[in-house]
Amino acid sequence: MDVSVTRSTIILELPRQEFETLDPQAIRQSVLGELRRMAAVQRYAQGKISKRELMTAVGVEAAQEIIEAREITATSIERAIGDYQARR
Amino acid sequence: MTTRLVVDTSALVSLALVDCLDLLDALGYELAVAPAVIQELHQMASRSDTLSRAAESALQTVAKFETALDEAAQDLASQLVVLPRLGQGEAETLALAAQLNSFEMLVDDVRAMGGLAGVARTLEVNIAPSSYVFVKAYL
Repeated sequence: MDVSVTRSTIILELPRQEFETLDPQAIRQSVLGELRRMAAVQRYAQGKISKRELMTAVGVEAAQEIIEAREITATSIERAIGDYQARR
Repeated sequence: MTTRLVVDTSALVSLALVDCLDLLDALGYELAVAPAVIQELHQMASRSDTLSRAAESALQTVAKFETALDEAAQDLASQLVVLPRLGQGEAETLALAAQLNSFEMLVDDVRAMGGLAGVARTLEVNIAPSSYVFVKAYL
C-alpha cells in the first residue's frame, strides 16, 4: 500500500482487490509509518538528525536519495550565490 | 549572463503549485523542455485534481519551449531511461541539457535527483531543484 500525505489529504493507493479485505490496523500503521518517514526527512533537512539516523528511519536506498538531493540543493545554492557575487 | 534551464516535469509542477511559473519569464531565463515532459504534463492535466491544474498551468507557460532531441540525445535518453529511478521525462531532460550545452537541469523528484547525479556530473550538466529559481530571484 502506498501512502501519500499532503497538508490537506491522505491518499492510500492499493489494488482494488485488496480493498475488500483491508485491515484498519494496516492502514493506521502505513499512515503512521509514512508520517514518521516524513518527519525524519524534515529533521534531517533541518540538521537535527544525522545521515545514519535518517538511514535508520527511512531505509538505506531512500536515505541515499535524500542525502544526494540535499547535496545537489546545497551545491545549486552555492552556485547561485557565486553567480551573484560575480555580477557585483 | 542569461541562465539557461532545461526543466523537468516535477520542477514545473512545483513552480505551478506555488503559482510562481511566471518567475521563469520574469527573470529572463532561456528555457527548453523535452518532448517527454510535455507528454507527462498532458497526461497529468487530463485528470481532475490539484496536480492536474498545476500541470495545465505549466503547459500554458512552457509548451512553446518544447525542443526536439537530436539523434545523439535520443540515443542517450534511451540509455538513461533504463537506469533505476529515472523516468522518460528525466532521461530526456538530462539528454536535452547535454545536447544544448551550458543549460542547467531543473528537477524536483528526489529519487530522480539521486539517480541522475553521477551521470549529470559526467555530462557536465548542473542539476538544481526548483528552489534554485527562488534563490536566483532573491539575489
